[in-house]
Order: sequence, then structure tokens, then C-alpha cells
Amino acid sequence: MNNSIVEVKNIWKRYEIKRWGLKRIAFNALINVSLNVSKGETVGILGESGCGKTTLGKIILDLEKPDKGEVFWFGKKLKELTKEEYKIYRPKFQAVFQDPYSSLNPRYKIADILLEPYLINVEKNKKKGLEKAEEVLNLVGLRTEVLKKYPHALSGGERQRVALARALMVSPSLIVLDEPTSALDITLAVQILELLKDFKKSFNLSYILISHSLPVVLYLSDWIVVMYLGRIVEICKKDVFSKVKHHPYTLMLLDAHPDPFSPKRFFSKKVKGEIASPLYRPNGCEFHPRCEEREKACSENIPQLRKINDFQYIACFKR
Amino acid sequence: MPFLEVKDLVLGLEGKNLPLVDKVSFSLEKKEILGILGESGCGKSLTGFALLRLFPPGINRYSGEVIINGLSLYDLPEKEVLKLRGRKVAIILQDPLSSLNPVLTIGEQIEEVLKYHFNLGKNERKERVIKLLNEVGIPDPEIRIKSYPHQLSGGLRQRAMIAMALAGEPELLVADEPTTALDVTLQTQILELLYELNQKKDLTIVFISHDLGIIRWIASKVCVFYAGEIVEMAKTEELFNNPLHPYTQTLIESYPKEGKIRKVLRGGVVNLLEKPKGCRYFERCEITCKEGKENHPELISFKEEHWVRCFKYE
Repeated sequence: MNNSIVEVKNIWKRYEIKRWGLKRIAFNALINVSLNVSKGETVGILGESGCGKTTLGKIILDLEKPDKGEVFWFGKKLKELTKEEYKIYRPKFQAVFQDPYSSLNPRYKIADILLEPYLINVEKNKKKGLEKAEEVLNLVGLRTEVLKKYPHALSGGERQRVALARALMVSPSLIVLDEPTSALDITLAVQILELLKDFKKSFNLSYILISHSLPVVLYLSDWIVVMYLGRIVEICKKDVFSKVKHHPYTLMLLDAHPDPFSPKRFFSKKVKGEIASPLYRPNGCEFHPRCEEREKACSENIPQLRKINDFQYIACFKR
Repeated sequence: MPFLEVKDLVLGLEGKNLPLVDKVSFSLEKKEILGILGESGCGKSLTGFALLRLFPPGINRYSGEVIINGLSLYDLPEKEVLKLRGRKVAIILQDPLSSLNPVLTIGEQIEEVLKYHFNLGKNERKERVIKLLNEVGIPDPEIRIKSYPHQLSGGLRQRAMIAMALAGEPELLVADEPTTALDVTLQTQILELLYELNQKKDLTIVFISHDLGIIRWIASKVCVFYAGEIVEMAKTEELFNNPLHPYTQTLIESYPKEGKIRKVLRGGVVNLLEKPKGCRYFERCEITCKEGKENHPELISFKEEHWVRCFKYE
């Protein structure tokens, strides 16, 4: 466990929303989620919108506090870090978000965008910072001329490269990638994915890759985590992913993915229904109303995540 | 005679001689599904809108024709086009939340189409709306007609928009990335719905997308767009099994397969403002050809039902 970069243990997160002006309704965005990311490892989190995958990313980045459970950074309890330790560890966790249009400050030049985290977290030396910025831009495949430009002068793909460069400015250990390629064209997405894979190797970086796209997750991840309504329903090692029997929900996602390499035009029987609102959770297994293999027990009890073997954990009565 | 014929359509910025969609021609039989595949900015959406004689501000048609069922769309007076739009050709868009009116219930919005195109009584209209909602798979349509767009989930909203498009009983449906904003499980359901409508109601569909998987799933024929031009056109299975154009080949090979990317397309799309003279794919092309730098290749029929724009095949 020494090489653990981040670990979350039995995390619960509750949000409250106001309905009809007065009444407050609470719902659980995350339920009993545990996860460990080791050095150099990529964990891909797969799920539909509203499954809590972004919330989990925020908790790992300490942008949100969990209601229950513990977060460990480099094996130390996040809550018990001293101010000095926090200052050292904080920049080790970076993020790249989906929309490069809203994640870059439109009033900052690219140079300022890249320098800001460096000056705050590494050292107050603008000259060295600019050197680093040029080096990092080179890595992400941008010319140094962009330093003088504003984000609006760049294309979507270039902006996403800048967002990635910003994360690399402080030599992080882990980057949370929240749908890093969803806003991009496939040809640009592929370029970004390739960069990410290169960095993973050359800097021994860890990623938490949040995505609803199966090919993206399969491409980058070592472990694949499937979430449904705030719960982890399956954890599977990438190497065995194509060979093992999956959770019915994972099967649904696999079935829903339109594969450009198979000619069959078919009607899927597996894909049906919509994810329930976390305000009105179904009883028992949350997935059972959409599940093909449901039994009586599924609507009464909640299946816990069980270890199937060293490569796979599943929360389902039928597995 | 084909059901839909687009002949040498050129669209561009008004007042400037800058074609953004350049000499696009294709034809489509009734009940076919045409997939238009391309990256953003390649002119695929402009082409889709032009099938309804709609243009974003500043964009207009320079030349070319669109013939739907024997009617030449650009020779008609504007009044006639209004009758055609929604009745013969309808469109569904990417983001249903911004394309539905937030202050009207979905029932009212669908009824509006019926009011415009048909002479029906109030009760008949209501029945028709309920029937339409049923058809597109919205549960409890009697209750849902009173819902506002924000009260529906993303999937239901897209279904409501499809219901609205179907209200005028169109023969041609232009679907501009209708599933991009949806989760993959909902995407499958919407694609299935469109395919079902195509099969049951003989609806001809022009489906615009940048996703290879979706295009292969739904289309019977594919046009690949690059920088405002068609670079390759063929039946779907032919295109995916024997892609001819280097762009199509790289596009297919760069799609992650079993966790691996076999090829990466470098660089970006050529800037049309610079008015490229030669082949528009020249800079990114892996084939070294002499002609492409200065000369512009034509779309040629390489074999039956398979067209390609590349000097390699001339």
C-alpha cells in the first residue's frame, strides 16, 4: 500500500436540494464508495450522467468534503494533514475538465494561465516558470507562440492541450480527467488520448479517468470502475475485461456502444429505461428495474460489492 | 428518379466568395438512411440545414439545387417553402433543451405544428398529439402533454422533439447529431426509435454525425465530408470494409479498438479562409502525391456506387 497515491474508504456524500421553495430534500450522491489508485495506475470510471462519477472526482481532489468515510493522500488521512503537508500534497492532484471553453479564464493569456499554478505552488520565479511553460507546451504539442494568445484564439483541441499543460506545470502525481475528450472531435480526441498515454509512461502519472465512453476508458485504464446511482457496481481489471462475465449494467453499457467495427444492425433487448433519479431510489438493487436478470431478491435487498477473483469485484446477486 | 437529389450545392459566407460547402452532390432513394460523417466545421450541418432551405445568419447559397420528390426547393417562393418545412422535411437537433420552447408545454408545441399544417378540430389535435407521443415511446402521454421541457429527462425531451418533427408527417427527416447530448444507453434507444420509424413509416433520414459507430449502425449509405467537400461516398458496408480515401481509412483506424489506437491523424483541418488550391487533405495525407499540392482532385466514381476524391484513384 506504500505506492498508493489516493485512496477513498467508504465514502458517503449527501446533497440537499430545495424543492417547491421550502421543502428540502436530501439525496445520496455517493454511497459507500471505496477506491485505491496506485502510482502509475489509471482508474477509469464509467457510468451514465448522474451516477456520481464527477462527485467522486471532486472528493479525491478535495474540492468537496465527504459526509462519511476517509480520503487518503499518499497513505495519509486527508483530515489529519498539517498545513505544511497539505501545501506540499495539494498541487500533486490536478484536474482536466470536459469543456476547455469554460475551464480557461478568458481574460488571461495562455502564459498567465500556465504561470499561475507554478508561481503559487512551485516557486516565485517568473523566468523559470516561463521556461517550464515552454517545456510543457512542447510536450503537449503546442508551439510557444500560443503563450501570447488568449484562449478564444485557440481551437477546442488546442485549448484542451492548454488545460493539460496547466495540469503538468506543477509536476503532479495524479490527474483527474473529467470527460477530457467528450467535447472534441474523434480525430482530436485520439490525439489527446495518445498524449495522455505517453505522459502516463514517461512521468509515471496516475489518472482517474471519468468518462461515459467505453472505448476511451478501455484505451487508457488499468482498472475499470462502473458506477450506478452513486454506488460502484463493478470493478474489473482491463486485461481481463473482454474475457469475464460482467455486471448486468456493464453488459448494458457494452451493448449500447455503437461499434464501428461490427456491421450488425440489431435491436438491443438489453438497453432500456433511464437511470432513476437519486431522489427516488428504487428499493433493493438500484438497477433492478432495468435489469434483464432480476429476481425477487433484487427488489428487496441491496447487493454488496463482492470479490469474484483478484481481477474483478461485482455487486450483483446473480454473479 | 431519386427521392432526394442535391446537385452541386455551394454554400458560403454572404458577400464573400468563400464556399464553406463546396459542390456537394448526392442522391437518396426513399426509405434510405444517409449518414453524413465529418469533423466539426466540415460543413455537414450546413448541408443538413440547406435541405430545409435554412441558413445560419451570414451564410447563404451561392449555387446548386435541392430537389425533394421532384420539387426544386430553391425555385419555390418563400411562402411555398413554409408549407413544405415541417410537412415534407423536418429536422431534429442536437440539444433538445435549447431547441424546445421553455415556456410552452410540449403538448402546445406539438399542437402548433398541427395547427399550421392541418385543418383539425381541437379534440382531434389533442388525440393526434397523444398518438404521436405514444409513437415515440413517451410513457403516460396524457399526463406528459402538460409537461414543460425542463420537467422531462434528456431522453424524453429528445423523444418529444422527434414527436414534434413527426407531427407534420414528413417524408424526409434531417437528424443533426440527435444523440450527442445523451448518455450512451439513451443514445441506443433514440437510434432504435429512428430506425423503427424508418422501417415502419418509410421515413427517409439524413443522419449527421461525427461518430463512426453510430453511422455504421444506422446509415445505409454514407457521405464522408472533409473541409466542405464530399471526399468519399458509398454504401455503408462497402465504405467500412473497403475505405478508399486516406482520410476515411485513417478515421476508421484511429478509432480505439480493443483498447488500442492503431493510427493517429495528425494536424488540423485546412483553413478555408486561405482558399486552398490543391487537395484539401494534402497536409495531413500520408500518401505522398505530386498532384495534390497544386491541383484539386475531383470526386470520381471508382467503382459502382463508390465515389472517392483522391488522385491515387484517377
